[in-house]
Amino acid sequence: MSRNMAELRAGERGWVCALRLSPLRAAPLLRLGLFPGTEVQCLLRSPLGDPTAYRFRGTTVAVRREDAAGIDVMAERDANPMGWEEKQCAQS
Amino acid sequence: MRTELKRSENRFSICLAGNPNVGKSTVFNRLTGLRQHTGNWTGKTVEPARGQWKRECATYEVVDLPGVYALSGGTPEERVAVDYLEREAPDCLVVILDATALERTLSLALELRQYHDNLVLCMNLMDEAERLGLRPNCAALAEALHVPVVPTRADQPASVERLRHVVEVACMRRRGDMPGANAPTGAGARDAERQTAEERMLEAAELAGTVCPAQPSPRRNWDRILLGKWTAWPITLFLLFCLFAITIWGANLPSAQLERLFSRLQVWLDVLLSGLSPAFRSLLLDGLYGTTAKVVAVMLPPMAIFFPLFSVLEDLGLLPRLAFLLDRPFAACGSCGRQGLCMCMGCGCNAVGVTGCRIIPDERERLAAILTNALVPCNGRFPTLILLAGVLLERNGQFHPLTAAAVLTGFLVLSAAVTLGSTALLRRTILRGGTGSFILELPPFRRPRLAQLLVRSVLDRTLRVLGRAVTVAAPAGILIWTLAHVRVGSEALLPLLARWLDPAAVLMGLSGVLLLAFLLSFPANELLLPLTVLIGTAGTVITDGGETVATLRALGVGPQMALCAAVFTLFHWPCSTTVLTVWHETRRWKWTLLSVLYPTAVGVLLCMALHLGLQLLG
Repeated sequence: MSRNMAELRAGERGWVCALRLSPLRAAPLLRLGLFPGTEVQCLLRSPLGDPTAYRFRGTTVAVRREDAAGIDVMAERDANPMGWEEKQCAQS
Repeated sequence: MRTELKRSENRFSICLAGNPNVGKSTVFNRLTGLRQHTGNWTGKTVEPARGQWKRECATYEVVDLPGVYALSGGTPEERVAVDYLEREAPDCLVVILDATALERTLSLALELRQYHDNLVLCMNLMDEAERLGLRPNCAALAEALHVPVVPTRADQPASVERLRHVVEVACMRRRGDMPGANAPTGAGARDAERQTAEERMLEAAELAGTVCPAQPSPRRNWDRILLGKWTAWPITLFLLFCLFAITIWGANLPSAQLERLFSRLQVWLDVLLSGLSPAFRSLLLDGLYGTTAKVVAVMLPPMAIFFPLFSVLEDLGLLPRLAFLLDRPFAACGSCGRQGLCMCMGCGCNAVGVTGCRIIPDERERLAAILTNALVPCNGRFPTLILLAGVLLERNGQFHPLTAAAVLTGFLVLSAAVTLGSTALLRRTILRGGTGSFILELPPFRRPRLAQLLVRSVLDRTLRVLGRAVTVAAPAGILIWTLAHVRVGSEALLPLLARWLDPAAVLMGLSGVLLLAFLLSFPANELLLPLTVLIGTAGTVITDGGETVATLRALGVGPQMALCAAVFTLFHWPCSTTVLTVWHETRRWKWTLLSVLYPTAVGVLLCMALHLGLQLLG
């Protein structure tokens, strides 16, 4: 099952599957190294809900929801549901 | 090749390239001894900075390219970098890597291999990497890429000396002065040409994995508090408040001391110049000296405190985080959080803020940010605002610096609100168009380097801004003195002009004196207060500067007028330097004119509305 990057919860990891963005919008993300296959972690949302800080390839980058929604990811909770639940329990 | 050698036999050109936020400017400064302004955010250096060092009759010229992530993307910085590399063909290209984020920085190095065959890699921020438990193996990287790799550390300035040496050797070797001259340094370059960006990134990831297999130990996550849902806004407002409180509170005493010193100097000068005719002496002392001294006394202390404090916030990496916080409201107005950064820079100086708008990639968003930048009060307007706040709040001749700081923070919030509204208006009318995206790197927190910071902010910023103010204040002082002493009929010109302006001024809740002072302070906002006093007292400078609140009172500035004046101080035409900067940035008379007219219209309308409201309330 595929989700988009904006659906990642704070703290959750995901793996980029595809970028469904116009070339102009995708360019800055590609430049920072956000390709299909990249591991992304959603760090936190801005207090007003948008943008969100993501961590990939050793850097933290703020991305708006409209851009994040155009990036398909395999979310941690789908890839490894058991591990994800354990992590949630450990956090709470 | 031969001709180039003859032309510049012992001049070598070196180029620094690297991602943003890898400490490139710091390495550049250490290499050349220059104090280039470093800032912890993306897009700081837009034009390449130049410097040089000399050793044994050879000169090594260094160009610091703007920070880029890649070369093929087509942003302004990237075009500058590619242009430079293709046009000037430097002898040696130094690529700065971030030891804490090797993967990403290496991919740029791999791409640069296609543009140049004489690379030197500088593994910067080694100390930061060690704190995170990383031990990048420079030797392994050098072997894999067939290029020299030099580790440098922020806490050891001497480590740059090694880099300098390696670069010198690389330059010489390229020119064939050393054995092993035509060694194939760029053996992999031809293979790299066929690489796509994605393949490059994968190769960089693989390389980074072999050079530095360890994972970074988790950092303490300040972001969770600084950008947290409930804590972010209180912390931001508190920091802003502290910034102003320290500035105002710290500046009070030295300001008074300076004024006393200057008035004592004036007495001596008066004695010294007693041989001159009284009128000429008055021109020199009251006009030239008086105005300049006033500007220095009012401006120097707050600037000497404000700029270093601002630099601390910059060095810590708080400004991109502010952009992150502010992006939502800006997005709603059709702009992006980067405009928030430009506004912060505008707090220091609007001309700097306008130049800073280059970090906004979208053309229309950038124009909107430039046109609205003057709505943020610059440092030169702070003293005026503080004093007007004093008139507004004063009871029994005293008011607490903390109250003044609170009022100033309030004024700033108002100006931010008006800026947002104006941006929205512009983006919905003359600058309509699709929204750009907002993708901004949030750099890791770095400890500010205090010594470097003090030198930089005091020498570079404070003295430069002060120098500009003085060069403007001195001729303005003469002009104003002349205006004050030229008589038309039985009356001096200044009061006449002030009276002539009175009807218009009264509509806005100001007085003719104030409006004339606003008009005449077009060269520099710092002149406003001295001018008001000068015009109001018809040319006789009041030397006991400590009582300026009382002086304003005596000139008939009551609480209501002070409020209107404060609003007009926030929103009126930008100073001449800023207007010039707008022209440089846009190259269009249309936008330059609008950058003057728009804030003026806002100010006039707001003041009239405010005045009307106050009248109705009684």
